[in-house]
Amino acid sequence: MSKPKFAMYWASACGGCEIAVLNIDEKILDLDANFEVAFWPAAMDVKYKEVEAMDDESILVTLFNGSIRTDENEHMAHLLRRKSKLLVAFGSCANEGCIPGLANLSPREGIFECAYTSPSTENPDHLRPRSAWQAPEGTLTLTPLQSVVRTLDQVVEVDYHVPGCPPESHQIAAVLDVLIAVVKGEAELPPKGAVLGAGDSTVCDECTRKRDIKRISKLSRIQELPMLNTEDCLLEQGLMCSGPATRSGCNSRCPNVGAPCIGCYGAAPGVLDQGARLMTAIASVVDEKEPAAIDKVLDGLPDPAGTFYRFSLAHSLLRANRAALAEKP
Amino acid sequence: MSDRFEPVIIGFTCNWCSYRAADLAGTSRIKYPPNVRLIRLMCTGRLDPTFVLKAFSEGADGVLIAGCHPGECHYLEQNYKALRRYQLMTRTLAQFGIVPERLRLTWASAAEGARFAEEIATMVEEVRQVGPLNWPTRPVPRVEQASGGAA
Amino acid sequence: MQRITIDPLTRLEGHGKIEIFLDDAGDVANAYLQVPELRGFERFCVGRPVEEMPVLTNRICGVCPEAHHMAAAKAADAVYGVTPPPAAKKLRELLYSAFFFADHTTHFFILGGPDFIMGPDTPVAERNILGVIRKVGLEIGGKVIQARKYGHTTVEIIGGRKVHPCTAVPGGMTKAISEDERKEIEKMGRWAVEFGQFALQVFHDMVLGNPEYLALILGDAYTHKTYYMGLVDANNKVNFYDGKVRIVGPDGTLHGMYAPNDYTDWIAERVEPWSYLKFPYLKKVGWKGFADGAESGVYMATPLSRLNVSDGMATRWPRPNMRSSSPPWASRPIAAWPSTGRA
Repeated sequence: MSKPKFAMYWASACGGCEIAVLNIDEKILDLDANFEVAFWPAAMDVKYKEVEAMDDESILVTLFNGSIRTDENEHMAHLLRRKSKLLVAFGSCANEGCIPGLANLSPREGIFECAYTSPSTENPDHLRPRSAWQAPEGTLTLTPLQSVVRTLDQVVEVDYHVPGCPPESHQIAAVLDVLIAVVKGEAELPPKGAVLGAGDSTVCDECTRKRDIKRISKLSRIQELPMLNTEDCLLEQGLMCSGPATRSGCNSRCPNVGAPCIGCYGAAPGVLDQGARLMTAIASVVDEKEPAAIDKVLDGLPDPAGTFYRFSLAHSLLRANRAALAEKP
Repeated sequence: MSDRFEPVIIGFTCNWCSYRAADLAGTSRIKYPPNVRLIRLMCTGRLDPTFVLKAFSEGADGVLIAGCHPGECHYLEQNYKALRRYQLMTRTLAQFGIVPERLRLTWASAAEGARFAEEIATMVEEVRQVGPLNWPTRPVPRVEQASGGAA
Repeated sequence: MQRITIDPLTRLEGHGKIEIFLDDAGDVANAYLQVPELRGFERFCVGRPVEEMPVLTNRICGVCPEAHHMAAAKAADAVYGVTPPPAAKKLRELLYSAFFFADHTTHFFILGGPDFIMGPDTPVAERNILGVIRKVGLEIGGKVIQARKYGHTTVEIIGGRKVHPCTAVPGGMTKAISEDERKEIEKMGRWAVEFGQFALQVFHDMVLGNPEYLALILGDAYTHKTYYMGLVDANNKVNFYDGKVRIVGPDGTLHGMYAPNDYTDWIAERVEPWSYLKFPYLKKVGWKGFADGAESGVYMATPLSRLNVSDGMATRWPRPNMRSSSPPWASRPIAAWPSTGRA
């Protein structure tokens, strides 16, 4: 009997998700033993045309990473939805937009302006990439950039979510084990819409640092805090940390090494909007009552939207800056 | 005039003060614009910024938060939390292109029916000035699209 | 005019497609490598706190996040005019070296290698890492897996995470390593040197030892003579973390050397209407189109160019007898490199 098919695809992505999958080390052999890899641009040479030619639902599971930034990304989301029985939003970009989702805080035109007229760019003719360009030999097409970054579940139906930037390899291995058990008929599929490969609490709950005073009178930037200790809660030491609003599952990796949680596992369970929850958390610990004094503390957070929505902007309630949303798609 | 822009304002009020102030304004026959839809919370300390964001993202042109005067919170200090959240939200919303006129915090005791009505009237005027927000609706997954594009 | 489209490019990080136009005789008239992606880091990094850059710019590439993490951290050091303490600098260098080891292993065996180990005519289903493991067997395949694991584990110990490290901040690192961790890294490092020798032997046997590949690599199709660019230390030896950027011409003569913060005096970027990616070139030579040679500002910044601009590696060659066997790169500069047929 032929093995069920597995695919992995990157839309607007960095490749970190693929490296994280390769980092399951020996377990990659289990993937090989139980699945036929049908499509995986990072690792094998199957082309789009060949995917188009596949039967609908002929792929058992596709790990789809990357956000939807271009028409091509959107097309691939629809194509792989059609070809796959199970479509998994894999990694932060597909689930929340990730850091490239911060592009939603300004109109698309600003991206072109910045990229193609930067100080290092010589562009006297004000050239811009175009969706179609007549080369001497024929027409070259280039997929258009859409006005804002969208997440996979804003474009197609998604069966499962695996969060993280990238998902931790031990979590990927656990998800793979579940899939293999299902293939072997030893387990049922998790309920549709389930978040796999993650915890059901917050990073704070996993963090081993001591939480105690729960009050802060100053928010500082990490370079202003040379004396950060290794035992106490980073937030209580005055450093903005996304742990209170972020889903567990990483074993609080960043706080463990003295760096704040930056929120890559997305909103904690039951939290609709990661940034809103972080605002709640920060407002709760600031130990001031006068507007001017509160403002002074908040001045320690020079980029609130970028900080609270570092990874989840595209999936937040507001999704983008007003001017960006107003642009033609 | 029927084509005058009538902003939709969601007002989050505290059970112990501003909600009663609104009630008092009503029973005292004090007129205030009908643009505000009041939602009663037990305390402004319950005001999750999610409520505000959801309001803006689903059609509100402005959000009013009304709590007990500083020092008079029924639950001791929760209105200070609301104050801090408000200040933090104002900064954050600015980066989304939502101007400060659209989010207002006010304190109103149960006795301040007239003042609360005035606050509402002022806010409605200010939001009318900045115009409709019209936040685009969230994208929903589509089942299928015509083939083409990448390939 | 006949047209061949290769879409997408595979076995490399990043998106690309190639359009090849053939003339009536069936020869290549022109070819275009298009990059159909732009995420806008250039824009959305503007206005964000400088200490965020090492974690934001990581996400430019998840295969080489360490490079972006370090570049951003060094830029942040420069913003504050600070030099990290010696221990922090050593940790960064160690992290970066471990990354090089892991990354080059990934490239050689997983991304590029399948072409050589499996051969370019192998069916697609076999021409990948899983096919490689099936062919070379679990013992050697296991070594490759182990090598990547050790490289990434070292990155994790120093950088906090295997992918997208988080410990480099303006002025230093957020974490020191314990004596136990140092010992573990040393153990993995020693194994890595052995593995490096093994990988060289694989390259020797499978690539250089195959007359067909050798002819391909050294033949005209794979020869690309351009300027070369790479980072060197004060002794003109290869450095990965710090130093000056050295540029030599196609014949090996010095074009110039600059401190990284002077890069806009040396490099400019050209915009083409058919790709989102810009095309960097040497400013002092100028843009002369997609041409190689000393007249064209096109340059290479690759492992090969690092060797071409330097007087050698700062560390001793791991196995003296490999030097005596006179590999083709013994006489600098080398112009040819297997471009591994990643398409």
